[in-house]
Amino acid sequence: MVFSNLIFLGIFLPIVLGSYYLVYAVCKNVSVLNVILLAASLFFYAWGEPVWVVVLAATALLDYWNGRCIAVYKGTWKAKAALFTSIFIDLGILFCFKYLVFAVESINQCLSLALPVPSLTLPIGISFYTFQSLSYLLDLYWGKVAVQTKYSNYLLYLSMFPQLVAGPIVRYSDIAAQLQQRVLTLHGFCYGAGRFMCGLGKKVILANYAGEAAVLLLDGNMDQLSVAGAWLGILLYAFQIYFDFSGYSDMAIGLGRMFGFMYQENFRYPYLSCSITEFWRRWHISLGFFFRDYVYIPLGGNRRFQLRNIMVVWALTGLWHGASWNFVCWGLYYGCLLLLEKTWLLSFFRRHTGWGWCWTAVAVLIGWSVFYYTDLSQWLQFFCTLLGLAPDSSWLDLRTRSVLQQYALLLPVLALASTPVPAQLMTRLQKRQRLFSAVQAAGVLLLGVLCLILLVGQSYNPFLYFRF
Amino acid sequence: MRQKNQYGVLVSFLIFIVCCVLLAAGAMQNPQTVSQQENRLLQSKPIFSAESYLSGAYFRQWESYISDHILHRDKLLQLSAQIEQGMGCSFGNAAQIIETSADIGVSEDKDGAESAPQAREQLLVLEDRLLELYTHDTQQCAAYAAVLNGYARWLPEQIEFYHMLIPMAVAFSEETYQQVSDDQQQAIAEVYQQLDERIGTVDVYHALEQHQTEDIYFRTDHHWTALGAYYGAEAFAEQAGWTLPALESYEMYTMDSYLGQLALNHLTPQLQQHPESLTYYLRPGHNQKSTMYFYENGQTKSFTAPMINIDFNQKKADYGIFISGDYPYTVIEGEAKNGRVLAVVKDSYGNALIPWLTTGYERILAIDPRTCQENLQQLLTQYQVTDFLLLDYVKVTMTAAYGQQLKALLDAAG
Repeated sequence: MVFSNLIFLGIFLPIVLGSYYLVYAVCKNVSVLNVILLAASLFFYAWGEPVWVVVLAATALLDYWNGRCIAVYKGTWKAKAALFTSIFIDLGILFCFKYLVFAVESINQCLSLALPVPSLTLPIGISFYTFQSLSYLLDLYWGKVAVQTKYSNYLLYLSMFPQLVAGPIVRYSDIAAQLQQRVLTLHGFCYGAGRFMCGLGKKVILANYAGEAAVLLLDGNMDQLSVAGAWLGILLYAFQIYFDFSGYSDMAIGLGRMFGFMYQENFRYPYLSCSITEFWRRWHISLGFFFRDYVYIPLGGNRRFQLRNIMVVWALTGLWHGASWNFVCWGLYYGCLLLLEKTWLLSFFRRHTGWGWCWTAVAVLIGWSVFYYTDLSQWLQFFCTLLGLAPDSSWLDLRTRSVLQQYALLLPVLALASTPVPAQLMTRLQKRQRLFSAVQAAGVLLLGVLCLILLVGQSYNPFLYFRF
Repeated sequence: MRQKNQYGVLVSFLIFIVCCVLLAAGAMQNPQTVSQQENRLLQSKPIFSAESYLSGAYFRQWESYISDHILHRDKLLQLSAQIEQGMGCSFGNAAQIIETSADIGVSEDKDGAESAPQAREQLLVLEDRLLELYTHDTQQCAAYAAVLNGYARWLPEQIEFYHMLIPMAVAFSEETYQQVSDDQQQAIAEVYQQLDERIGTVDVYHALEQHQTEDIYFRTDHHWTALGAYYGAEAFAEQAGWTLPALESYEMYTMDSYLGQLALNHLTPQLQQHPESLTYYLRPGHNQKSTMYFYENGQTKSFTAPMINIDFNQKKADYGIFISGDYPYTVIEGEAKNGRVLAVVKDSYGNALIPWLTTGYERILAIDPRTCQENLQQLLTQYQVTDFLLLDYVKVTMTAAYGQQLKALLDAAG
């Protein structure tokens, strides 16, 4: 079930919100509220994964149990054994579902073998909940969080439907207290509702149309692609992936607030970054924190083997996004850029932010092209067109002119919406309370109506990050 | 004070949710099965089974069902198209490429079955016409050829087997427009090269190319015109060893205000302002009788009509006037008394072609693989078929869906 779907918006969400607030009005008992949320979350997950919901529950049970062992045998080898058992099994499950096919295919290709390739479908959100579970166990082992003593609460932490399938990766430490006690307020609900609608608008109005336009340019015959078409196509894809993913994060954060949970921000206007280093502090923040705290620092951080640590982290970041060589290349590409910046460029970009922004914009767009084309030879052809090196490619073609015409008004909206300008305008308005409230209310209603109408005309369009 | 300020957002959000609830609830009550606007079957109500549950298909079908049956869907679709139009603006010559769901025609699916995921296709929208763009997929071409070779192995030796792969209009459009589409001639040659040698291929591409300045395709529809079909029929007759009467021996009739399915489906307002005319040809006194067979409530039913059925859409111009449109199978009485019976397994391009073939055969059996549930073997035996023509337009090599339906018809024949 996706958030931008009428089953979710017209059936699931009203029932869950209604029963949740009814119970809150009657008894304010957090345990009962947790039961409602857990039932809703498992139903939500089972809707998309009727079989693999068992894997989710089993992972939660295993890690919950090992978590208790870690707490009981703290400081002994038994705690370490419990931790490593969980890490091994969790990553093993993730490997089997996500990387086994890729591994077997790669081995077959490299060694000219014909090992049977398993056919496994990737359970939705497995990368997200596996990382969440690992973060809990590691924090528990390091004494940063207290043990969770109720399995249902732990399962709720892993399976909570607002962020279950496409993040953000919520750390246990961020919501441990809210699992035990939380207060629902009108302000929190309204903030959540507004945030949810913003996310829905980003997805339905901006991401889907940017994607539709990008496909027209990027998925056609590469021989016909012009230089301008290649740049425009990848720019549109950059907007699509940003609004798609940040839209989902907005909806997750909004839903979380409606149910009384505060999630960390996952995006902070990444396309305004003046260096790649800054870009990754603003893009998918929860993933960056995860790799920093659970991989980079334990490996030695910047104290020893920094070069190795950076490349390991970025190879893993690439692999996390998908089981394909282009994702590995994409990760390593960023690893190299970050090293380049750390060694030479960063101080220059701090003094010359304009150059920094240009560098980042070009580097990120090239990065998205590696991300887009899973076939490296196809990417190479695209890259040659991008640089104007492809034989017979024109500078501007009919297809590109057509896209420019069709989406002429969408393009400036995409650019503007990826900056803090709309948020700043709202902040200014806050001084005039009545006008601010009216604009907010009208905005939510307008977004809602627009999204509903456009959703009818759009075919099934899942969130891009579902596949991770 | 702070709480008061929030009420607006709360009320707006609740209104939005109530609208969603009403639309979703309305979907449960909406009995529509076909979207005329999109020319496709809507998802039927899902039927629970352990298999569909475990595969996740059951829930996906519900999502499609709700989305397909929203109240006032047609109006909302129009509104949505208008909003989409508003995202762009025109700079001079308004050639636009749009992407949309590929349509291989309305086909029946079993109750509760999951609608096949629709492939995407691209259209070039010009001031006065719409052109489907071709995407060459070598794998799909090979798969399509493999299905045809399956027919060649299965078909009794004494039956002559012909195949005709018809190009789309963009192949004969201006150079600029051809450049945004893949080479169809190459794709057709690729399919023909892979075919079993018993299959007589019809070089319809060159036949049409010689007449590319004439009105051989509609401007607002994806089909060829009756004139285009005539040149196709000429090429086929030559391959099959008979001669088609000269075009001059036919009388020409024209119906005005024709707006084809492409223009209707894709909600392009500028094209809807440019209707065209629909022409058909008849030899005096030879509007042959045709019998259309279809399924209703599990029974096979039929009706008869002239092969050029101008009453098809209340005397309004419609491509359905040719053999009354797409039916599971249709029997057309021919003019020739030569004992030859032609079976045509066809998509809708065959509809405009078949009336031309009546001079060469005593009877023609038209079979639509998308809807026919009969046993092909039995049909061929029952009608004593001597010649077998399988014709499609080249778009069927862009997706797997049509080839699968062709294969299913063959598999069911045993």
